[in-house]
Amino acid sequence: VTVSIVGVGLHPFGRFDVTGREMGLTAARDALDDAGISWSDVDFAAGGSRDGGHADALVSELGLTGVPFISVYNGCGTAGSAILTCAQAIESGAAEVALAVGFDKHARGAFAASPAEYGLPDWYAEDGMMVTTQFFALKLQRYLHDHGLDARLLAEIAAKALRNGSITPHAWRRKPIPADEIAAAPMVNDPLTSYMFCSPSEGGAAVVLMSTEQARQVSDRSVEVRALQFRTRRFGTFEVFSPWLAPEITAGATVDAARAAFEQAGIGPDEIDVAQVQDTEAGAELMHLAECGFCEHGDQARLVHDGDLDIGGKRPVNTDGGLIANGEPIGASGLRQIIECVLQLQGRAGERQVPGDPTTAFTQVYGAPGISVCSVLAR
Amino acid sequence: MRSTLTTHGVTATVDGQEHLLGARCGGCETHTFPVQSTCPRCGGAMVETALPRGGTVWSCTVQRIRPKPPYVGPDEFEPFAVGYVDLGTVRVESRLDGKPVDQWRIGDAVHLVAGDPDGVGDVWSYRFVPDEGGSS
Repeated sequence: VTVSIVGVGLHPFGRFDVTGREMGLTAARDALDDAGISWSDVDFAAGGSRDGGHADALVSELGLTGVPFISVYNGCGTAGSAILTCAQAIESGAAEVALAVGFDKHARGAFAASPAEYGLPDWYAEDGMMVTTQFFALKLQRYLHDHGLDARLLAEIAAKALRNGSITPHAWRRKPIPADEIAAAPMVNDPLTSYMFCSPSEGGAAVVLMSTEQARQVSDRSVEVRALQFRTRRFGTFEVFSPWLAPEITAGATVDAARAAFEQAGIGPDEIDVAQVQDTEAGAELMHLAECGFCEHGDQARLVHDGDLDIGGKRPVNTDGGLIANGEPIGASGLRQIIECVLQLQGRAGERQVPGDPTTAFTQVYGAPGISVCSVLAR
Repeated sequence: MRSTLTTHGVTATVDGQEHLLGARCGGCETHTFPVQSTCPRCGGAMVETALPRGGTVWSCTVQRIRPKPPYVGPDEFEPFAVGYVDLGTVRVESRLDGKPVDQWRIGDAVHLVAGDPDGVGDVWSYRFVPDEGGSS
């Protein structure tokens, strides 16, 4: 049994005067409308939120139908876990129509993390080392050093994100900023300036799934989930919140999840028309492009300079502005990526539509404490 | 060596010199910092071990904005350098002291100092500082 997406719903990302739950409800209802079904047709649901409330409590407003509703939490991979849970329920025959939903509403500023929740000693945070932005900078500094890449690329990548965000109605950051201005912004963790980071934000996202066979009966624009893979880190990887690293660094969770996804889908990175990758900051997009297999390590400079990553380029990446333009509501972020791919594959992406009638898409999320969820979508 | 090892949780004193206190797997020789009881690679039992005092900077950055709580630095926040120091058997994350924050480079030779560098009192911590005549 393969699984397809028949409806998508997105509450815009940004800052709003409504609760996280309300954004989740809006996304869920829009997804049901988009699928042309009602909540009572749904026989399985999964969802997650870090700070917005309990996902399963959405049944109070959606309707008390008795539907099984699994609440999940996997940091930045939360939305990926929600859709994976739904897809597996359909594949196993336990469900026919499933709704995956994610929503969140975070306080301003960088995420604060509790060391005890990660099995880390208190001094690690008290001494100022348990900081996600610091990890990205440390991984990036070594990466730029090892592969001879110029930090200027980071400003170019952030400028692309904001350029794409400026033509995306649901995006939070709608103002394009020139690369020079991004490079000259205040430094947060060298070499990353404040304009190169995504910020915690608010939003909601939902998709309706069915078996591909059923989806083709009810919709002429369904998008097949060709692969969906979740991985945690293996020994020797370089991950966030690591007081120590092994002397030999091995491939991280993203490499494993992406490789498994391409294997499951039976196609390679070269055959992907449009991709959304985790750009928690500009360096994350840079590194994840190679980790996912879209280029060799060090080859990113050529992709950026040739405009390959732009809408209209050879393989557009983060076409709705990614996390940099949308911010990150943790529970919703991974579903936003999938929804953006669905809209691109359906030709419904408006001003930011990738030309050439794309048929294949890819998404990747990365999160603490070293997890990744990757998907391959096709119509 | 064990006979002279006294620990303060994060560091240990061996023959009058401070070391970071790590753990070594008896089976596969994996080292961790800080101490953990079972090996993250093979699941074997680990024993406490004093890590080398000196190494080289493997990656570094600057923390230029005040981290959120539970960070407990001084009231007047000053940007600090932070990085991973390659000790051979393991790379440890550490704050880097002893020269201007933006002058740290990958490959700099460093050694451990332990104590209470911020003078805050409730964080008993450690830093790596440049070797004299180090590589930078």
